[in-house]
Amino acid sequence: MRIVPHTLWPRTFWTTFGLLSVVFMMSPLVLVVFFSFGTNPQATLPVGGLTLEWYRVLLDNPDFWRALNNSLIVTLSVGALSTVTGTAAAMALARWPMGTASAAMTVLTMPVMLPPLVLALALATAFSAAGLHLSVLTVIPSHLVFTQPFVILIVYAQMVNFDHAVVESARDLGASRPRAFFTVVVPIIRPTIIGAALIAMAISLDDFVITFFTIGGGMTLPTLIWGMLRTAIDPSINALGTLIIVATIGSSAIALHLTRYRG
Amino acid sequence: MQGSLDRATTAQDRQPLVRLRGISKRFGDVWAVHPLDLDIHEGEFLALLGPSGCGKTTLLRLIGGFIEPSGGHIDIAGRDVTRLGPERRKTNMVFQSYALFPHMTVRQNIGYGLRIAGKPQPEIDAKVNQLIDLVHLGGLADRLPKNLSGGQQQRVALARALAMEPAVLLLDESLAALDLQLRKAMQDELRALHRALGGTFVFVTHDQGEAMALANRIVVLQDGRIVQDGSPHDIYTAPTTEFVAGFIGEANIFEGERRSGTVVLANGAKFADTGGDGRVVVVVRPDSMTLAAAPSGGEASMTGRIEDVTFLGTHFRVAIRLDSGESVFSHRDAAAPGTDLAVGTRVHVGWQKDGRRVVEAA
Amino acid sequence: MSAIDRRSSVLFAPALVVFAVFFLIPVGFFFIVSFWQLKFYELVPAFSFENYVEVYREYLHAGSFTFSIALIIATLTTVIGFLLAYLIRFRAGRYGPILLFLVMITLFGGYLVKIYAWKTILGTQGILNAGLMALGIIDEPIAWILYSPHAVVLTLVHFLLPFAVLPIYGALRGIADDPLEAARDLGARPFRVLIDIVLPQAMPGITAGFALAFLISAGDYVTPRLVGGTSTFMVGNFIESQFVNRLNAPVGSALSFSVLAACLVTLAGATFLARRLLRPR
Repeated sequence: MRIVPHTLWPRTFWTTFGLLSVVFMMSPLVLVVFFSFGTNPQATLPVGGLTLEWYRVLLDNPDFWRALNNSLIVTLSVGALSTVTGTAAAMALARWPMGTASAAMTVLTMPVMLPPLVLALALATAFSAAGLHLSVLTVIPSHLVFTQPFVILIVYAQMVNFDHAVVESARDLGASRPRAFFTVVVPIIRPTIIGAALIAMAISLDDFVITFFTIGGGMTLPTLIWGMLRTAIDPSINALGTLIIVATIGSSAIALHLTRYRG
Repeated sequence: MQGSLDRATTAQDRQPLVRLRGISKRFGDVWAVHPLDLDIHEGEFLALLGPSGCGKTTLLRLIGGFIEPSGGHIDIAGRDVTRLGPERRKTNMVFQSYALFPHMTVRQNIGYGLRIAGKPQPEIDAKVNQLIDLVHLGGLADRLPKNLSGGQQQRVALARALAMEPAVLLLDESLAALDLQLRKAMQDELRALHRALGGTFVFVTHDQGEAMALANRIVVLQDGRIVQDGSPHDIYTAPTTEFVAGFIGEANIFEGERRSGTVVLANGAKFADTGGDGRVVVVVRPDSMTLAAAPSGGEASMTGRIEDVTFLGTHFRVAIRLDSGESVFSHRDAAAPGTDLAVGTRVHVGWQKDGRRVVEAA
Repeated sequence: MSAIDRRSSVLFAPALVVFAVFFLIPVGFFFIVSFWQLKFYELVPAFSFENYVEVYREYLHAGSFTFSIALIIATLTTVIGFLLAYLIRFRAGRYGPILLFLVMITLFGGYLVKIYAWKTILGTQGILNAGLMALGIIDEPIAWILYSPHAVVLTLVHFLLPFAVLPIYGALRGIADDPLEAARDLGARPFRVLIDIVLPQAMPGITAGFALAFLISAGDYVTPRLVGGTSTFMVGNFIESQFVNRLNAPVGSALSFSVLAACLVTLAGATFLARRLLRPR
């Protein structure tokens, strides 16, 4: 054999690297879920026996219900609003020349690139200068500005590949413009829109920094965790963490399946 | 036996430039290429011809070193290259998709291989300029591929491969993406390049017309096996199988059986032909199919009715429905059709002995 | 493609209004505030560079520390992210989609939850130390991991990794296979193909991933607060404390925009350099 075919050591490298990456990415999340069912309150090994005690503690905590209530209000409103503004914008962008559209998207994506702390402080300063009372109602538009870019990017990716001939043929068959939109376009892109809405909701539900500075005295699930982290060890934090993981990962997994969004 | 054959060939011929011995490729359970032998000689313009899925592209990629064979070995210029990657073989490929580097200009694309080879910049510049002239890309040297037409991209791909002065130039269905007129022009150019540069070209195509127009040797592949190997003229006039006859050009094919020196066709016609007993097919090219108002005294004669006539410039293409129910075609010279070609006319069709070929049925 | 017509402008308007009212105006106002003065806990409009002078005087050290940590984090994230995206696109075969799915999933799962998880993993009683001790690799817990810059780097690389993988994978997915084979056919070894063909085409994705990782880690204050210990004070912590503890918006704002400007200059420089290095000849 003259030369070693370049198969053996690269394959070993990539296999090892891939496995290590998966462990690195997944282990923190897996551990939180794991500890939420263990009797050891220190979140250390050994875990001890199996228990649902921490979930009971969490559900008995009135703050949890207040935070859940606020999180639901914010997440659902942000999901609905950013789906409307984002989808409409994506529809418009899909009709624009490619260069203009991508420039417009770069501009609208700026809120995602800015460090969240800076955006949070800018919003808090502006709200207080405008004399607005900080509450859940100021959180909603603050989330909207950085969730709508995700909706725009996802829906736009689908709309640029959309075959506009189907709309033309619907209109050729007698459908009015709105009727063609609701009977032809919407059914085709519905999974994408639902997926985009779920992604927006997952991002909103997960946000801590912007919420913290724009909510005033209220609390959401992430700010509740923040409170728990700063006080003495509270094992029900694992249970709450598990709920957030399940909610955000569950909705995004459904969303990824629906949108077939691949990067 | 394989070995003795080998020695016999080398004794007669020059050393082949590319020598495949027992080369095969299996993807899972599927044999893309069954073990086969093939010699390619210096200066040949060789077509690997066959329908899609016949293994021709796999064979070309095996020669180029893009895939490793499942068995056998490949020599190029007397050196065993079986386990060498494409970067270490003196072959260069013009890809079906052109595979231009989208972020490099025409000049950078063409010069890439020379730069990798560590050639000094002045030499690269000179060579690239020469190639740009050769493939008529003057004035486009600093454009990116996306700003070129399909035909221009094709030329860049060609120049990029030629820059390496390959021992063998490989072309993978390289003309398939071009429109008909451009394809004809590129065919002329490729032939002229081969004449001017010499060298050895191997190309893959599913288009028998293109193979005929370009190659001086055609290797016909079917299901991963070589079914015929010869000059375009041989392949056209003397197909060895029904598949080759049907694939290369238009052919009338009659099924029949040969018994003790006589071929009897399914439609009843019979004629003498030496050979073993068994099922055979008779291949008659449309231009060898005679057509007359009365029996013409050829080897075989059948009757039918003209069903359709198409004017094709130099000739008429006449479709005849035989009384036996088969449909056959005959080409008649447009200047001298020789008989009344009105649709519905009853005619006698047949062929002369040298106008047909009998091959064993598949 | 039609030009921008009235109907599409109407559709685009709501998103633009949200962007203008809740991003442009607040951030613009916040920038103006950086030139204002604070007198008796009241904001007084002014045009003074005093805040920037104070930032330069007091926070230069914290700034350069933050900067180096953010650079380390962004570099690590981009390198690992590129390798992972490369693995998914070119090497993983049928495992590629599964890996991609895992990456996208870890985009979510709770920012605070992840930081908290690392805190429990890296602690002296944590899984990492327990595991290493059980394996006999160490005799007593390593105390210097948690509450140190190492923990901040580890936690933020973990958090930012999917943000880097996804744009880089997007760029790699746009690279056709044939030109890679063509490069090898022309004599390039696999490493050369990576440098000459893959990297230049992946640059937009790499730049996006690096920029995001750099900006977010330079502006983060939660991670250093929770796992960085007392020695790891990053600019984010000072910005936050200007607001929360001192109620001094002007200095906080000046500090924010100084960091931002420094980041943008660095990013522009890095991009320029990378483009130059990878420019085909």
